[in-house]
Amino acid sequence: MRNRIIYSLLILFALFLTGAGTTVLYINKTTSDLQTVINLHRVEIIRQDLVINAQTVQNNLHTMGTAFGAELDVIVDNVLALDASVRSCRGCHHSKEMDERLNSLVEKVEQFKDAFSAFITTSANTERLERLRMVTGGIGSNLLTDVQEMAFIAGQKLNEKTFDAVKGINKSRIILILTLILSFFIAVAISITMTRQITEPIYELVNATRKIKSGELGFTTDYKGKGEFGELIASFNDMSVTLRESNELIMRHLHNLSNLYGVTLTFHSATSEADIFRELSFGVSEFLGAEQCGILLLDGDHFVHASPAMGLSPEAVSSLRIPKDILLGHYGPTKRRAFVANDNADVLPPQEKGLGVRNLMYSWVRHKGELMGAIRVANKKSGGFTEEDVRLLAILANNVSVAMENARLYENLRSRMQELKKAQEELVQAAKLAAVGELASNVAHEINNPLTSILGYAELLKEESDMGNIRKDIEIIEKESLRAREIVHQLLEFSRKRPLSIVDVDINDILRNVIDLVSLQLKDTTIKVFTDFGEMPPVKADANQLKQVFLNIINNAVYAMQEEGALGITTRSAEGNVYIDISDTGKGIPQEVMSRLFEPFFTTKKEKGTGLGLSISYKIVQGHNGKIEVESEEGKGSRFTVVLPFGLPKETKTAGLGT
Amino acid sequence: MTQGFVTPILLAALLALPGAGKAEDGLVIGLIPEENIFRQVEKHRPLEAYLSEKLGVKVKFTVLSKYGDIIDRFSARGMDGAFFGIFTAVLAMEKLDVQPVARLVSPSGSGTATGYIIVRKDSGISSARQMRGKKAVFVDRATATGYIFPLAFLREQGVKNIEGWFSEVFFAGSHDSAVYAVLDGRADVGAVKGKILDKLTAKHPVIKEEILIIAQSAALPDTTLCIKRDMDPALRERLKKALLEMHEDPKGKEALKLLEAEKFAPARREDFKPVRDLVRKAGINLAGYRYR
Amino acid sequence: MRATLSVILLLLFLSGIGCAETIGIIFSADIPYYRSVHEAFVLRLKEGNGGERIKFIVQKPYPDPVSWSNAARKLASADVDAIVTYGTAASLAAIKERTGIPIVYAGVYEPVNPKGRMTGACFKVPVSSILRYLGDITTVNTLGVLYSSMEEDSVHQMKEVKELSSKYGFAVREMNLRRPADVSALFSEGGGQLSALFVTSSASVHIALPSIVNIVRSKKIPSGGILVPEDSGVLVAFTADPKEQGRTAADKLMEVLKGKPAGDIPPSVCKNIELIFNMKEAVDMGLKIPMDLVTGATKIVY
Repeated sequence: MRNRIIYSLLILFALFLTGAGTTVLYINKTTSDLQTVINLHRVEIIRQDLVINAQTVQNNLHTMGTAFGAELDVIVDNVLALDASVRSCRGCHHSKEMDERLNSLVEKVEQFKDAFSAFITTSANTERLERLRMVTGGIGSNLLTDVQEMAFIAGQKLNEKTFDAVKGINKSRIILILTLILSFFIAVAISITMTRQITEPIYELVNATRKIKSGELGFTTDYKGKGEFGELIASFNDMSVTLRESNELIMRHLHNLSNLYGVTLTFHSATSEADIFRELSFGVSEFLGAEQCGILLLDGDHFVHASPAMGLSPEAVSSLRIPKDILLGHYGPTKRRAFVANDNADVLPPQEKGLGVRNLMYSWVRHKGELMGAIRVANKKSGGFTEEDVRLLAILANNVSVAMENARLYENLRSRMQELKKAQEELVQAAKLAAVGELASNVAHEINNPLTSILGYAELLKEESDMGNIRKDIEIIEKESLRAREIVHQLLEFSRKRPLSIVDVDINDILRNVIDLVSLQLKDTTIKVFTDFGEMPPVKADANQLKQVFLNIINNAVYAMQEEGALGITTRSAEGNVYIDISDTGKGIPQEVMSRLFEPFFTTKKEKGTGLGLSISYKIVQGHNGKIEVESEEGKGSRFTVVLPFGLPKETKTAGLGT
Repeated sequence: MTQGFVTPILLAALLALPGAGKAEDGLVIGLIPEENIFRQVEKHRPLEAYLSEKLGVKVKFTVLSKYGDIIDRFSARGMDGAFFGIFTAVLAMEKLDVQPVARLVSPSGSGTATGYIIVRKDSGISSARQMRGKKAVFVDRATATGYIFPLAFLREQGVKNIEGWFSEVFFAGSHDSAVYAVLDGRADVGAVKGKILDKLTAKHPVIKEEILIIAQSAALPDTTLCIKRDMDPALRERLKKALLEMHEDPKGKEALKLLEAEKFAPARREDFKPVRDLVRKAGINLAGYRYR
Repeated sequence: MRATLSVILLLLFLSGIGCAETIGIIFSADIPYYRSVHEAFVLRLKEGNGGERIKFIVQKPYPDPVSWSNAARKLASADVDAIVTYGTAASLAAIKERTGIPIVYAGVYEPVNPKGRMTGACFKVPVSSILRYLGDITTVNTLGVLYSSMEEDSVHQMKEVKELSSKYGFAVREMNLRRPADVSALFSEGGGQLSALFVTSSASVHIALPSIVNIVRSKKIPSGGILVPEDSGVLVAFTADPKEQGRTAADKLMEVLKGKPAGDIPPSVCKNIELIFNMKEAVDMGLKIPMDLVTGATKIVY
């Protein structure tokens, strides 16, 4: 290729040189032709000069002594000019004939000069004067005729030569143009050929490349390139084929890996060892195409075949126990790889006998660097176990150990979780009990009030005689007693572990209930209660639980206000949620407390409180797919907003109260 | 190509400028027709150029058709000087108020000329007396060697009336013709300039066998350049200097070669004493001399 | 002046005589020149006293010695009073006959020594001048000299040319024309081209002159000669004026007829020499025209 380029460049260069050379040559030729024409015209001038001189001189001769005669100086100058003209003609190159004529002309001029001089200088002898004039005139006219003849011939020659020269120039011009055109076309032709030679194979390759890009791997081009292109194309073809093969290899690998993945996935998602073994056995036997598959695991001194397994009867499985040392014996030399016995039955451990093994592979399973077992695959249907099988199974083996570890860990976790749950429940119960305790004291306190009332009024009754007043007082006694019962009911209810019952509740009602519950408590305080209940759609929730939440929050608000302030309770609904705002003008919640607000057992109440209230409330609300938001400003007050969706709460776990 | 036009135009322009303080517009110097006038002018062209360059003044030579013309044409043509012949120089000094400046000296060194009186060897003539009744050929009334000398000679020999002494007297017009006339027998006696006879003899050695020189003049000063007396003295000095130093200048040497001379030698009035002697002997009154 | 005087005396004498004389005329050759001489001669006689009564017996022999002698003898036997010969050949032949009759010649090239009773008109021309002019016209390497060994004057001229040849630096080819008819043969023989041709005053040669001129014209050979007429076609020629020759001869004859012995009458060398230059011929031949020839020539043919 390179050579070809060099050659064609050389050709182009040679072409250029030829063109340039021709151009220069013809320009030279044209220049010299033009020079010739110029010279010829110069000659023309000389020639005409000559004729004019001859005529002038002749005229001088004939007019001498007349009125038209010229001064002697002038005549002398004219004659010498003629002489010079003739001599200058001689200076140029002429044909031999012309030279001879010129020579004779020079002689004639000499004679003419002699005659003329004699004529001019002769003493006045009329006869001689006339004779001399005639002689001079004769020579002169002879001269003139000669000169005119020569001039005529010269003129003709001049025309011929000029014509030739002009023709020459024209020819040169044509040749130059032709050369230019020809060179141009040849150069274009060469360039096109050259580039074509380069671009064609390149196009082919580009096409082939495109084909490959579009997925046609292994596409080979038939294009036969020359030289380097041939090599290139051959390489390309090879590459394409290699690509396809590689691709196939990769695909195969991918296939294998996906198989592998399939298997490993399954036993990674298995939660028990048994599951793992099952998945392993079935999966491997399937993608290796082997009859038997299972896993041997170290158990004390023996490696025991785990169950379930593929292709082995449960008896065979339980009978397959290989002494540790034997297996280790095989493990040692093949540590990094697997132990493969494709057709050599002798190397098999004796325990394998009787299992109808044609070919066998142990793929070592390690745990923390120690051999803990081996994946046993036997009787691969399509020939022996290949390197690839070994590799794949090695990966699998790694995964198996990991999976088994995972399974174990999972078990651990599960049992731990169980314990935790139990603890949690007990904790809740404790909290509840504590709350109950508090509640009890509350209730006790609460019941105390109505009871006091009742006692009071009873006292009064003792002294009352007015039936009307008696009735009023009895009504009040009844009301207060009912109230006391209600409180007790609530308490009982509260302490019961009730299962969740999700119904449509009216939040406002619940709130009203709760407010009632606390109003007695509030009687002794200057705390004002403001309510603003918006239109509330029914909310799917457990009413008791909600009650617990509201109660908790309100209790906290009351506590924060310390017997004076305002308690605001508003409800509204928007965008699928209900918003219950409980605000107080208490001392507010400091920043460092805010983050720990819903932490179990976290409380700012010194002796009182279990620290579980808000955490349980939070859990309950969470259980209802809602949330509790808190805004607070120290010294100003706080606002707790409970947000609850209309819809079903999610599948509830038993966080909070109930089972 | 334009260069060919520019230079002459510039030169012409320069030349057209009033010559910065030059005394003359140019010098015109006459030449007597000693030979073919064209050839003579040609021969003098290099000298013309040389003098023009050296003097910084345009020098032009003008040739005359006849010896005698020089006296008439000198003033008419506005000449500043001329190369006068032997006799015409004396005439000019008398009539034109010129003075000699320089003359050409040939390689043989003399700068003088001699006159011969010739006859054919077989004519049997050897004295003036024997010429009686014969045909005589002279050159021109205004030449020393070709007329004045033989005149003087004959007078010295006792011949009083020249025209009467000979059966026929004619003027050949040139020295060459005079020689040929004698050679051909068309004349019995002739008078010619020595160097012309020598030149012809060199061309045709036979002439020596046929011609006899029966008398010879004294050495006379040859062609001399005489200049008007009233020429600007500075210019005259420059001219003199240019001429006298010419042989030291390479271009000058070239010009001299063409004139077949070695150099220019200074000329003085005294050189012309022999001519004046001849004139006297010939009984000529310069003032009234008719040279036509 | 003198010539005129003698003529008058002669006429007087002759007028005294009163008797008719018979004169014998011998032409060396019947060429135009001699005819001109004769014409002038006759005219002159007629002018003279008693001249008109003279009777002539004209002999125009063929130019060879036998014919000339015959002519002389014939005249001798005719008992003429005088013999007039035109040209050297006739003159010498007449003398040789020893007829005792006085001879008057004309048109004779001077160096001929008259022996005995001879007088007449002769001329002298410098051969070397012709050679010189030929040399001016063209480069002469070989000069052909046309002469006749039987004519003394032409032999003499030929010898003169030969003498001068070494001085001029050319070779001489002697062309002896015994009979006019031999001309072409004479030109064809001999090696090399002639540079120039010299025509002597030989009668034979002059008879053949037209053919000679044709040949030299065709060969472009410049020619020079003696005694040739001006329209002959020869380039350069010295010719003694035939009229003068004739007249002088006539005068001499008158003296003889008056009784003076021929030997006592000094011959006259005629000075009327024409240098003729045929420029037309020269131009036709494309030759150089020497100006001194143009100026020196007494006659130019255009």
